[in-house]
Amino acid sequence: MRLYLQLPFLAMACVFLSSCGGGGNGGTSSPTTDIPDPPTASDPDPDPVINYDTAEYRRNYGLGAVNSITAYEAGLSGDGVTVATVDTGIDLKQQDLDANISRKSIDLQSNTYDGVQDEYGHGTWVAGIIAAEKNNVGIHGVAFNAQVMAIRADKHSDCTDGCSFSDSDVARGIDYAVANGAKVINLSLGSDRTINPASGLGQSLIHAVDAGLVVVIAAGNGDDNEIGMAEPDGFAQFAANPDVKGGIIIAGAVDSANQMASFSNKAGTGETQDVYMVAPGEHILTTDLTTSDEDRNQLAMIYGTSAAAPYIAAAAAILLEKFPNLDNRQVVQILLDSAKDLGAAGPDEEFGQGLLDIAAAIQPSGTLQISSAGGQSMALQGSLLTSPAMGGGLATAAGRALAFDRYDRAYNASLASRFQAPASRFSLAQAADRMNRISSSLSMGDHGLRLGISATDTGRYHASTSLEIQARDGNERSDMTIEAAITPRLSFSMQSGSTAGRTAATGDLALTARAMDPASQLSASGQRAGLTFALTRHLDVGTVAFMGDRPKADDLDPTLDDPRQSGGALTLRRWLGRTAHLDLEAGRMFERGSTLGLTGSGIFNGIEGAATDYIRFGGGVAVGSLRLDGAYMASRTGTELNGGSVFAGFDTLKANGWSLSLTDQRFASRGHVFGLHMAQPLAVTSGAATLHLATGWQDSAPVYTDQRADLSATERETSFELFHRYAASDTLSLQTNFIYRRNPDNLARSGDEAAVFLHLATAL
Amino acid sequence: MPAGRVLAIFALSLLAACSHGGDDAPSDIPEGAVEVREGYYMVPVTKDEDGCQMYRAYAPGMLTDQAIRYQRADGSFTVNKEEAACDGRS
Repeated sequence: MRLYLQLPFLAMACVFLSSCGGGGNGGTSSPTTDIPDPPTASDPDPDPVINYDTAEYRRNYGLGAVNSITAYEAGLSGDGVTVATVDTGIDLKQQDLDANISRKSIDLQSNTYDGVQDEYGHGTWVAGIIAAEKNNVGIHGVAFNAQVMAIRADKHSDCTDGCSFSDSDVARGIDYAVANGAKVINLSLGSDRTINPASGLGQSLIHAVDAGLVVVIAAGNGDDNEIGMAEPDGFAQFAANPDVKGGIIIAGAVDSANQMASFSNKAGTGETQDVYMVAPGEHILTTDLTTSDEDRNQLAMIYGTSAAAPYIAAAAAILLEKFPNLDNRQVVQILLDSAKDLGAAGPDEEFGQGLLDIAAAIQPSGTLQISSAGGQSMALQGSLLTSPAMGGGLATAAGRALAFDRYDRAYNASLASRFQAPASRFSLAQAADRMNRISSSLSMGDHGLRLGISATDTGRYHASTSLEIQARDGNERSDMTIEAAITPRLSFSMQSGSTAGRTAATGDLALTARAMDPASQLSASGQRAGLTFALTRHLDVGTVAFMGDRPKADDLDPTLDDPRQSGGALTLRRWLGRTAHLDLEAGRMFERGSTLGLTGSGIFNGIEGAATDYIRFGGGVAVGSLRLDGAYMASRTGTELNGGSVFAGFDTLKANGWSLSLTDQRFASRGHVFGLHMAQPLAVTSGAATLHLATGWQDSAPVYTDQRADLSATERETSFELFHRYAASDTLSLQTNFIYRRNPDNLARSGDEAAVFLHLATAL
Repeated sequence: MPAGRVLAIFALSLLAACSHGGDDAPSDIPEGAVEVREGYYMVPVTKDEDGCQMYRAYAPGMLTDQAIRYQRADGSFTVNKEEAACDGRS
């Protein structure tokens, strides 16, 4: 009886792991949502070359205060949206406005376009804040490409130091804006008086809101002695009327430090607080009346809630440009909801909902939704864990789709960023762990019972113990071998008519643990049990059953289920003499929750399972001390979907792989064993997934298309292993394994891997 | 009641209604308001951080713009603070 103690040298110096240019699970990325882009049909092209942080931009500090530059960089400027101003008209000669004055501008008294010429200046100030041109002259407006429909509503009487407006004229102006295509109305006007909903002005405002226009009203410049400043003035309070609430915003004013302007009426405690927000209203530089034909770029510095309201009106124009499908109440709600909180936390009596924030307003609100292939709405979340067999195939898919927020605003979402690289199905670290064990066994010579106990410290994976019972009787084919290991990965293997002696040499190769069946190709761990009978002297028949676990996905996406594989096969081995054989294995693997290892969560969680039929041809021949083994496997995979994802279907996936091993039991001289192994693991050669995604935008509705995502591996892994064992004596041996993997997991971007194992064993 | 008196009352009622021009009764003229012209006032609001008095426009029964004014030395009003007579910080 011999006590055989195997001391792997790994713990001392043995494992040299290096990753040439990466390795591991490279390419894994967290799902992200792209910076939203507008719907494709109305998608202005952002021009990264344009610098929006110009002197013209900086002259109007309010543009920065409301984060407008984010909108500009997204290609937004209010283009195509008309903002009506019911005011004192507009300076038709102002060089900074002339291109943005709507031809539908009108003077209500003369009923002419020319009559709209501003005689006091207030309408020109307001218009400049909304849409002064971006032309490197003076300042530019918040929505510098919007159109201003200037509706002159003053009496053309004495406007010394300011004009006044009758309710009926303002009502007419509102009606005109509604009838002539304006999307937004700015009313930088005020009054102490409350407005009766049944009055002409009240009815016009109700009509405008019902017609889908966004209305912005200045909060008023209060005085403590009379109407008070604790709430909006009487006119602005109409915004809280149930007939219009949600369609009108009250605009208060803040200074450059975001402090409440001392003159501004505040949000109040009642219903007005819900629809009140603030914008810059102090020290605002804007366009002024021209003083001569030579000087058409006059500027004015103004204060008042008159200045705050057009910031918000212009922001509404930007929103409507980006999301033309929004209705007025949605625009109002988005602007209010996205406001930057000022003062007391949350909505308050002073700032109401907070400061206008255009950058926040164009961002998605709530969780983005995407429509499944079956038409259900799903939260845009989850990830797709691509299969090692597919390598980086899926990563090349465009994977872009429109996703929708709670207001049905469409955003371009990159699905590709949710594609995660496969976990390495073969880890050099795991291989090291497998070999890094201290084992002992009792063996009663070549004929008898072998009892073994091994303890394996596999580091981060698990620790296990095993009991091996082996009854052997030499290397004859008639021998019987029974092995069992009691570990967390319980395995049982029974072979009758064992060929253990003929294949023992390859057992020294780390890479040969990757048996040529789909489950072990795709699994991080698995069990394989077989039963083989020698049917005749030259023919072995057997069955194989296997189970496998997908690589633990916790590190990638905790919401992913752990798919499992199981299956079985029939095996045939035809012996050609005593030293050569041909193998044939045909089997089927069933997967739950994956297809050839591809699995997903969230919007990709629609793979019910798959069935893979495979066939493997192989053979081996021994000549003297040399032995050559090889195998080739081909498979076809059919996928079953459950309809709850973006997947509309899968092609039949075709894959193949091969391996080749050469060993020499007497390499160079007695005591030296040499082995060489080469393989290309399983890789998909053809097949695609079809994703049903919204990819366009037409007539305010998404357009769905089927996108094909090729699942073929774009690169193939080729792995090499060199093995050498030197038995210095009956009790001492040194084993060296050198492993090199090119394009591990069929991914070039993982970088190549190389490792050296030194294994020292001694027998006592 | 004599017809002439009835006519006079009716005419006065019409005059009163027309002068309102709005939905509700006109507000009283705020204290301290400066009449710029008939039916149009500048009402002192607060003083700004420089101590310069700010005004808002006020017209009974009418809507007015919501720009802040400052008073010039000659008594007229302007939105341009640079033109305001704020030396006295009154």
